[in-house]
Amino acid sequence: MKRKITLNTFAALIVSLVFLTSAQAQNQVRAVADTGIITIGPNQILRISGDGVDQDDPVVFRFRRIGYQAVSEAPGITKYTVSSNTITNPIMTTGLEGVAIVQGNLIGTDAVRVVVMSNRPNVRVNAALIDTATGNTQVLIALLLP
Amino acid sequence: MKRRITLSIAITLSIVAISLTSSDTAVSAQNQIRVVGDTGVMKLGPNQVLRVGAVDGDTDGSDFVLFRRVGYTHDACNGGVCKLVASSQTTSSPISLMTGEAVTFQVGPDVQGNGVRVVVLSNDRSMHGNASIVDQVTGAIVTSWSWGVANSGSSD
Repeated sequence: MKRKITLNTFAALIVSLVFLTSAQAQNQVRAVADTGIITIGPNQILRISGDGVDQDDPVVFRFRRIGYQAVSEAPGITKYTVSSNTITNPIMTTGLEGVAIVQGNLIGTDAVRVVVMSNRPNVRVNAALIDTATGNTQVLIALLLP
Repeated sequence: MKRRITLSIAITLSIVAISLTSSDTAVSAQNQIRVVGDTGVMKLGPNQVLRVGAVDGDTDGSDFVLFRRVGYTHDACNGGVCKLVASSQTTSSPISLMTGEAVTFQVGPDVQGNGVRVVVLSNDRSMHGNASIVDQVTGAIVTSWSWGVANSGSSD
């Protein structure tokens, strides 16, 4: 009898540990898309948006914007180092989309990279380059998704 | 008792052997250079440049990247299908990337030949980046796409 109780307690402990781990994994914000390092044209803006696959999903987004500055150049090769690194507050989206906009031609920034982070791995992320003069989408960027 | 000691020694030795083998495998895998990105063959316009960027997926500061540029010329065309043949190939020296560093490799403008391709090589599988075709006159990106494996290390 005593052995049975011990076994039950042990099983209950394992189950609660599994639940806790999975809940924690869902709350953890991870990288879900990455633009890579790009130099946006002076008349372009980079617009990145994300939403959940199911519109009722409470999805959290954060956008990390990394600015780079050129430090050395060889023929054809330019090396950059991080000059700024900012991350937005968590943006909660339910039936809405989280959007980050990066202007081209930023002073002190030679290139930029945006990493999209979310608490859900199955989110939709779109990146587009928009002409600031006409408002037209010029380029849809094929993004990296894990 | 004697049997128990022998068994313990055997188990310990096995564990040591396995850990030595796996660490050796990890080191040799880290030194192995492999293709991590490839633009494929493309034809650039007279005012266009191809810019390939690479960032390191991890932060150990021991990784490097190389860019291989392959030039192509027309061989034979038949019914709209043209065969291209590699006519030149150059590979950059290894470029080491420390934490927070990135690198771009540019091809053009005025690329001779009928096609160009950039292959990205690295010792790190998590190396990733993107390739953009940029209009040299306006500075605008004409097209852009990502390559490699998305960074799974930047959790917050």
